Amino acid sequence: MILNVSNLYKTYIRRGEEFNAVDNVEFFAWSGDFSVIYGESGSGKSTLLSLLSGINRPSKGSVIFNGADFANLSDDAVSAVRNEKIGYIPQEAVFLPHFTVLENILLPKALRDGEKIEVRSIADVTDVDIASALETLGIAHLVHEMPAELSGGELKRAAIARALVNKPEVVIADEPTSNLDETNAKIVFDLLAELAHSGTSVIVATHDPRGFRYGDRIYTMHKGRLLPSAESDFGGL
Amino acid sequence: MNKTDLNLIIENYLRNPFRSFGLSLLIALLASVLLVGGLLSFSLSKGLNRLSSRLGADVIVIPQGSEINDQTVLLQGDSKYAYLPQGSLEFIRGLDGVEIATPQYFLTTLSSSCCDQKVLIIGFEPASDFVIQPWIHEVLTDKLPKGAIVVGSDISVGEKRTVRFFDHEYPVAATLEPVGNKLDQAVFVDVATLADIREAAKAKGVIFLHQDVKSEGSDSPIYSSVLIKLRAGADIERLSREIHTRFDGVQIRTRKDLFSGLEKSANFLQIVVWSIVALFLMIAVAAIVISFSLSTRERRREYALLRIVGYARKRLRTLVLGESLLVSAVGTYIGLLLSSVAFFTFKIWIGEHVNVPFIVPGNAEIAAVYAVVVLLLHSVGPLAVYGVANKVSKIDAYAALREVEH
Repeated sequence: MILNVSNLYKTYIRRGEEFNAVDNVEFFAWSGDFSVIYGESGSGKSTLLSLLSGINRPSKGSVIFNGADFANLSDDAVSAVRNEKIGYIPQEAVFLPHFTVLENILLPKALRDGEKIEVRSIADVTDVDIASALETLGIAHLVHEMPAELSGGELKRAAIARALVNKPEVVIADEPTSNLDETNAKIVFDLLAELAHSGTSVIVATHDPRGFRYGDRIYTMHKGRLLPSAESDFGGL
Repeated sequence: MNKTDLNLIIENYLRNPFRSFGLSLLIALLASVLLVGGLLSFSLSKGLNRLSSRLGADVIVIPQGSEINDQTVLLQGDSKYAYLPQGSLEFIRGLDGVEIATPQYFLTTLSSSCCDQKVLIIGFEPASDFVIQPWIHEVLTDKLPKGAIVVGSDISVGEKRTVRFFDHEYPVAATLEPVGNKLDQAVFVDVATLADIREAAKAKGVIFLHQDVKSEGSDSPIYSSVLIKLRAGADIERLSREIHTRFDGVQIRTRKDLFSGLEKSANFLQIVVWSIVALFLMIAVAAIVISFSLSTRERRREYALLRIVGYARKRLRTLVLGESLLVSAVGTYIGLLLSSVAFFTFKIWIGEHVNVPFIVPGNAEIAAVYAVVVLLLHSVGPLAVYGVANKVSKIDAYAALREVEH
């Protein structure tokens, strides 16, 4: 088991009252799993993914990654895990505006290796898997552009490539197919499925029903609670 | 900090050149005033100390009612014509409590071959002098040769090591260490050589009016000033009363009087300088804090992204501090370069216009001032933005991303 989440809560105060954005969640993920979490906007799935990736700290409960409880690790250690072992794809594609798309994609690698971010040419990218992912995602020809010159869909695909650059053990994707047309959405799901097939644990939060057919485990998130497929309305999809 | 951080810091500096260079220029101004302030401060302090150690006399008697001012004549070496009443030296020597009294004579030439400006000639009496000869002995171990002169540090003597007055060449026996005022442009001679110079002047038709007119028909010479060393326990007030009772038109200044005025001037200058430094420091700190606060607010998405890809909170703080350090460092070196050129180019002009003794400090002291300025200004940026950097390090990346989403 790569990820073991138990009794997880994230509590916020809204208009003076407490509410649980994540409410007593139990979740497990294994290498090679493709988990799909479905939920409406505001159901708490983005909050859950932020807790799974260590970006956010839970109010209660534990997130155990490869046997290490995030709660017992320093911020440095959790950040290092996130850099090296977790590929996080946020819902909104955010980029450093003054670096090229390729430099942004290679940012986690530069950070891991302590290298300069600047890259002159795609030929500098010696990693065959990354070059192949860029081709698969259809953005290889755009990598020398600046982020502002790309469409929302192209940026989304670049953000996916960035999440894969350090060959993470877990990929956590928040609405990876938003802003994508049907063809590109399929490309993205196919790529994530291929990753899962090669042993990466993939966790996707999505509205997109097309994602269900890729999932080994399907969950529904509703008002902060995570329900397994057998208990959800979408389990049969 | 590794190459990734450095790369981000430099890129962020360059991508907003107006903001970055604007802040650096502010730091450059601060560096300039701090460096010049520090050097001025050292120079004034050194000038006062050197002069104090050289003055030697406890009491100085000078003419009153003339344009002569105690500080400008005796300390600054300015040269207006006025002389003490005849017989004053002999009277003073006879007073109770006076250990030694020595006269000095001031003459001013028109420009000589040595200088572009008037040269002050100070004559001393070798037998009684206890002020000038100790200075001379610092650079000349032997007795001053007959007819030779000693010059202040600013007087150029050329390869021949002579100075020309009224068509006569006078050999220069030694050049004194700088004092930091117009005495550095003075020539020191014994009374015999002074008489030669006066004769040479007469031969050229130049007459030193007061000196010659007043001394006519009298065996008793007149002097520009009398410097007194007192015996231990001597009553200065009584001495002063006795001189005033005997002679009209004299001023009596103690060493303390003379230096208190100078110290006041020097202190005032220092207050002005350090007030300007404080003002610039406040402006620079405020500008840096405001600018970084606004900038980090605009860049919340970027910081959130860095958190997502694995930046630890400490490292985010380092990034912000690093940017402020770069702003400070660029400004510091620009400021030091420009102000160094200005200060060392115009140091003589500054020395002449501050109106208090001014000696540029030695290399070790200059290096110390530079080191302090560099250390202080490199820390200004990081200290100013420490709060902002801490705030950035605590950024809620998840919330920052959601702000973007909605």
